[in-house]
Amino acid sequence: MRTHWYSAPLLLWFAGVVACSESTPTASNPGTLATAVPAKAFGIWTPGRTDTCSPEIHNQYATVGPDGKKYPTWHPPVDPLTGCTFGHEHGRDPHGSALSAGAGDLPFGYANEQLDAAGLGMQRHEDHVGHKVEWENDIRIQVAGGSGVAIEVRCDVLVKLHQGTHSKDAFTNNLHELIYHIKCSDKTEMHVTLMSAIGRPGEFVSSCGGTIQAGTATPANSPSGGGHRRIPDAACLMSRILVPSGQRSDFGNLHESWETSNEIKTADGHRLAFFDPYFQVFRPSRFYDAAATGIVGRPVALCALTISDRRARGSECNGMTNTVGGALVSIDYDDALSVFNGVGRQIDVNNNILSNGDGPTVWYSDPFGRNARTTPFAGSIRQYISSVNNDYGVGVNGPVLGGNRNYGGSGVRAPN
Amino acid sequence: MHRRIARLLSIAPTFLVLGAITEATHAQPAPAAGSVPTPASAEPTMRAAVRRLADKHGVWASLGVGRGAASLDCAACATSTTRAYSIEGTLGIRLSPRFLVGAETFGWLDVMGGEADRIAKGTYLVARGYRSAKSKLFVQAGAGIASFEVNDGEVKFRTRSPSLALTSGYDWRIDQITITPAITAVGSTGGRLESDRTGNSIADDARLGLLRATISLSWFR
Repeated sequence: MRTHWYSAPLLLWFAGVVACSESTPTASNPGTLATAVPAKAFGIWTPGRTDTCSPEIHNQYATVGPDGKKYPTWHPPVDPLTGCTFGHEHGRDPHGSALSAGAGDLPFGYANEQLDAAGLGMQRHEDHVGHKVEWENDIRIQVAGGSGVAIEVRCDVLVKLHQGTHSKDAFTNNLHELIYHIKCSDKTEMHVTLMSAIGRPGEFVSSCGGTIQAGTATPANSPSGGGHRRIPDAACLMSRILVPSGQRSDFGNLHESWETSNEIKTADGHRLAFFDPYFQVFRPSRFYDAAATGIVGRPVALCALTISDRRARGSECNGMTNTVGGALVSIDYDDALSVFNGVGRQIDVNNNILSNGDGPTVWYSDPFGRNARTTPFAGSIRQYISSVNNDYGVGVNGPVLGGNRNYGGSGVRAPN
Repeated sequence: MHRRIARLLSIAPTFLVLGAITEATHAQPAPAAGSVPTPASAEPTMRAAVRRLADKHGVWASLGVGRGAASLDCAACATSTTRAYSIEGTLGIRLSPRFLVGAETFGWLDVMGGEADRIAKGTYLVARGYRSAKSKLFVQAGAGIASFEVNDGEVKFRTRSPSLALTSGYDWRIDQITITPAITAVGSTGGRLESDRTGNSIADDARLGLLRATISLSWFR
C-alpha cells in the first residue's frame, strides 16, 4: 500500500478499508496426467532432423485441461534435464506471470478440443509449434489521449495465441486458439479461452494492402470475425525486398500482424466482454506465393534470388546463402541459422471492455465466445469475467508486450 | 514534492505559535457580536430564523485565497501530488463569543499548465472554536462533501464523497476587518471515480487529501 503525505492526518479521521478479493478463474478438473485421456493436441509433435529431443521427453510437458484430458503445455526450447533441443519455442515462460498461479499450466488446444464437442459441425485442430505465450506484469494502460500522470490503470496480462507463421495454414484459416488472462487495478479481470475468428476465412490481407483469396478454410464453415490477418505475399515482397543496386531491401514488410477482435456474448446478444489485442510476428519463415509448391514461399530463398539487377540487399541475408557449383543458393528454410524463423513477436494490448456490472463472474460460452450462459453445456468453455462495467467512453492504449524479446537460439528453427 | 509538503506542515505549528505570542503581547478584543435588536418578524422561514439568530449573535463571513497541495489516491490513480491555488468562502453565525458555526466552500484549481487538469471542490458545515472570548487562535472542523475532477485525456473522471476538513488559524483584527491566515487539511475516502461519459467507475476507493494555506479577509458583525 502506498503512503502519502496526507496519510498521517487522515488517519486521525478515517479508517480506510482495502478489500482484496481472490478469484479462481480457471477450473482444473482433478485428475492425473498418467490416467488422463490425451486430447487431439497431445503427442502430435515429432522431432525434425536437427531436433535432439524425443517425443517422450516432449510429452512430459503436459497438463490436464478443465475437461480432464491431457494437453501439451509450455516448455522451454531446451529440455533442462537432458539438454536436448525441441527446435521450436512457445514464447515466454508463463510461470513468471503474476496470473500463472490462477491460470495454471496453459492447455494448448483446449478450445480446439471443445469445438469438436460443441456440435457445431466444425473441427479445427492446429499444429503444436504455433502456440505462443507472452505475458507481462504490471503494465500501464492509459485512457485515450491521456498523459497517465493522473489516471493509470495497471494490469497483469498473460496471453497465448496459436500463431503459426511457417505454413499455409493461416492463409485460409481464420480460427486460432486464444487464451487471454488479464487483471487490472480498475477491477477489470477476465480469464478467457476461445477460438478467435480473425478476419474472414479463405482470405487474408496482404502486407502491401488488398485482400488475397487463398483458398478454402478448414473448417469450410468457419465463422467470420473482426480484424484481419495481415501476411506478406510474393508480389509485395518482390517489390520491397528485391531492389536494384544502391537501394536497401525493406525487410519490414516481412511482418505479420494478426489483429483480433474478440467477444464473449450471451445468447440474447449482450456483450459481456470485448478485447482486441494485435499479435505481430517479425521475419516469419513463410509468405504467400500462389506460384509456389503448396502456395508457401520462403523468405530465406529471396536472399539467393536475383531478377535482372534486383536482389535482396541488407544484413538480414548475411550468412543465408552458400555458393554451390558457382550458383548462389539459400540455406534451407528450416535451418537453425536462418533468421527467418518467427522468433521476434509482440502483442499490442488494446481495449478490454467489460459490460458485466451486475452479472456473475463465471460464464460458459461456446468455443467462439458466443451463447454464454451460467451453466455448462456440451462443448462449452468456462470463462471468468469480473462483475464490472469498465467502458469509460474512450479507448485505452496498452503497451507492447514482448517487442524487446527474442525467442531464438537454442536450436530454434522453422517450423516454429 | 513530499519534502515540500513536509516543510509546509513543519511551518504550520511555528505559524500558530507565533500567532499565540502575538495574541499574548497585543491582546485585542475578540470580534464582537452584533447588537442589532431582534426584529419582531413572524416570517416562518429558515431565512427568518437565521436572520434572528444573526441579529442576536452576529454574523461572520470570510473570503480567502490560498495555495495547496492535493493528491488523489486510488487503485487506478497515478500517485502524483500537485500544487495549485485555491479560493474559499465562509458564512456563519456566532453562537457565543467562543463558538461559531457556518458553511464553507472552497475550490482548488490545478488547471494552469501541466499534463492533466485537476479540480477539487468542497462544501462543509463548519464549527469554529476559540480558546477564550479574547483568543484569536481558533480551530475549525467541518463535515461535508468534496469532489475531485481529473481531466487526463479525452475523458474526465470525477469522484464525490463525504469529506472532513480541519482548520487552524489566527484572526488578526485591523480596524473593521480581520485578516485570517489559516491552514486546512481536507480528506475524503471511499469515492467512486467515474467517467463523465458513461458513469462507469474506474475505482471505488478514491481518497482525496488536500492541504492548503490560506489568507482570508473576515468580517464579524
